[in-house]
Amino acid sequence: MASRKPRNSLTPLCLPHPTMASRTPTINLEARDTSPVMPKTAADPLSGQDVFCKVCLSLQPPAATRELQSCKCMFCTACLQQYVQLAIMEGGGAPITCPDMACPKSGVLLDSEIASLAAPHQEELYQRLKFERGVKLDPSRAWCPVFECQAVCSVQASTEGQPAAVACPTCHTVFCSSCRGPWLDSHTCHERQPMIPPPLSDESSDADVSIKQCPVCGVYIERNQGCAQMLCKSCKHTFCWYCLQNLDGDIFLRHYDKGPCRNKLGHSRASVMWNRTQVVGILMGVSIIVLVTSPLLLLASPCILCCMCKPCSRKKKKRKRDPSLQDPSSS
Amino acid sequence: MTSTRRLGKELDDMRKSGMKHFRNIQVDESNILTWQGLIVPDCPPYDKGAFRIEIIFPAEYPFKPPKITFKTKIYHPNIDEKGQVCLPIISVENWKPATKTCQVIQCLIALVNAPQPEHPLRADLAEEYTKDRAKFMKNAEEFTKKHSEKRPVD
Repeated sequence: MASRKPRNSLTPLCLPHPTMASRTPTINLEARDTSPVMPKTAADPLSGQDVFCKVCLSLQPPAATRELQSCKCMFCTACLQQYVQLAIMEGGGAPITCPDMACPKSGVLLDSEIASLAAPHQEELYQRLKFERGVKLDPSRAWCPVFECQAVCSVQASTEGQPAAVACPTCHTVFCSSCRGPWLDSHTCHERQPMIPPPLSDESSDADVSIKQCPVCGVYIERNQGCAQMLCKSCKHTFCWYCLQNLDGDIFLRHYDKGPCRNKLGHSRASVMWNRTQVVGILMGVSIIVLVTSPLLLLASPCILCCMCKPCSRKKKKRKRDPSLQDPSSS
Repeated sequence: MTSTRRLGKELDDMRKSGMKHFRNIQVDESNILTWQGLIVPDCPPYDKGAFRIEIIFPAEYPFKPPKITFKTKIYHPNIDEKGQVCLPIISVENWKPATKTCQVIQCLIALVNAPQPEHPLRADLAEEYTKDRAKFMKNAEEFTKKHSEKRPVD
């Protein structure tokens, strides 16, 4: 169910998220301008003024509205309930954010708010999905594959993408971290291989398969459009769609310069070059700043060291304490 | 139903305010979940015509995003032959219920006026756009003249 997520400027076809100026004027319905910008009021609930809910686009009495704690945005309770319900059912345990794109603080609903807006069984579902999502995204944890057990086991760090043996602390089963099958001697894991495409005719090659698995977390990814540099939404791993090679460190996308994936990126040469120029520019900018500031840092370092020096600061404290100790005896 | 009530309000607001670049909004009385309208860009090469779009709202609107397709053929790097367009503001991951249709349309018009060749749906047009802008403009203008609808007068 995972899909790609926009990455940097080279990401396939998803344009940068539009930024909208946030407006929080207090206006009533009569005074609301009819221009195609969003009307919004942030009337104080205590003042007894009606609140304009940006979801149902209607004025609501303060009693029927709620303020989100993290961002102070206000919506009517009924809208928030529907929003939370859908976010639980379809969000897969991801954080539930403020329903307003222009929310200045990009607020996130607190667990207590979700609990009060959703039915108890839904809230339970959300907590379970959230926990499962946490384990799934965490390479250092895995579920025990034994049906009766299902304990969360810790996975020893291994080379990225390489399967490792995991011992369940509860039922002591030893299983493979990637295929979750029993870990036997000289276990060769086949699960990590890309999903076997259905039998194909000669014309349609592997490149036509539109669903593959992320080489790191194994989540299924559908590529419906865009370029071949894929970012797994679930584990944030970057890889090449065609050969599944790791592209995490390949900031210049040199993978597409040679080898079997040559020119298969899907971006024009010009845009790749432009991206590289940008990366080089940023790196050069940072190094210039470091070079320019290094003499200053060198000059300032003795002062900083003095301030940080623990024995010196302890002496000072002692000096301060001493007179106070002597005081009672002298009196 | 939330969707019907909210769409009614949005439609009223949009008709009252009269967007300059989105005209002739047509909505079937029996089904407010499907809108049609004319996108009237003001940047060349698209300023020679108007483009019909269809907006389909799901029953769960505004909790789920609308879908937009171009009904008029357009020579544009970000709009494919089927009329599909990739607009991040209405993608499932980014969608926010407080986003109004007029904002979505403004984003769409901005995209039509200023193609984004870095995120193409049609790689061939994106390449032409970046490498040979004059040729792209000529082709797009011809295409617009041939396929687009008449711009509404007034």
